[in-house]
Amino acid sequence: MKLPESLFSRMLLACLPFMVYPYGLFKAGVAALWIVLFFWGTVVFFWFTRRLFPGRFLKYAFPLWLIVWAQAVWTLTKLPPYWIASVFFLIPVSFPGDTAKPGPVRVFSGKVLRSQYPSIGAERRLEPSKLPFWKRKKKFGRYFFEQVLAGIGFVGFVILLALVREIAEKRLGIQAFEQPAGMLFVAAAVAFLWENQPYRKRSQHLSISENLKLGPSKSP
Amino acid sequence: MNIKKTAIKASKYLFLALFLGLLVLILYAAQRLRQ
Repeated sequence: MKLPESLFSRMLLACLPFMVYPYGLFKAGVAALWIVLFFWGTVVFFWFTRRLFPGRFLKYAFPLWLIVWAQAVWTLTKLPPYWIASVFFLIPVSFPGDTAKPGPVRVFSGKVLRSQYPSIGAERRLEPSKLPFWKRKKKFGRYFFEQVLAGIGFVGFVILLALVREIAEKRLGIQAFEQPAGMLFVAAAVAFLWENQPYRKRSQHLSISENLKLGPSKSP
Repeated sequence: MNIKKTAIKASKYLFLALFLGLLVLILYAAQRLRQ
């Protein structure tokens, strides 16, 4: 299965397990906070230790780490056993490998043209070991900034969904919002209608297809 | 040179063993704290 790399898709995927939790606003917020803190801790831990592992064992060490923490936290707290799914979805696909580099300048799946800013990525394309130490730290900052952004977006999204549900269900009494899946259905319908607006300018479609052409992955 | 390479490799495996030990310790601590 191919998982998306862009921040927004990762946030959205990470929110999906929350659709089956019977949580109110406060509990959903606490769970999201814990998930994000663990996610940041994992990123920091593996960023600094990934070179210490024997090469081929790194990809096994990472899932083991996730499974052990999922089990330990589940036994200690009242989080559901599949809380780790959110962390797994938040982590970028190429994460624990030695090639974990910050991605191209890309926020919410939009991409900046390299020709517009030629200096972007010129240094980033170098291997970390070829950079002096202070530059490596900078690289970590850049990489961690993306993960911080993903984490904050995830918490914000979870709280927004819980808030919308709270208001729509309790105050407005909308039946569809009583179950999280109903809210997901409404959100999907809204997104579909937004994408298929009549009388939409042609140029927007063009820019979307151009963006797709720019992406690194091309389907065969 | 060869000794250095072997030392690096050995220390990497030592780190892996430490890591696995840490994971076991986490599981054990969680079980103990629960009781």
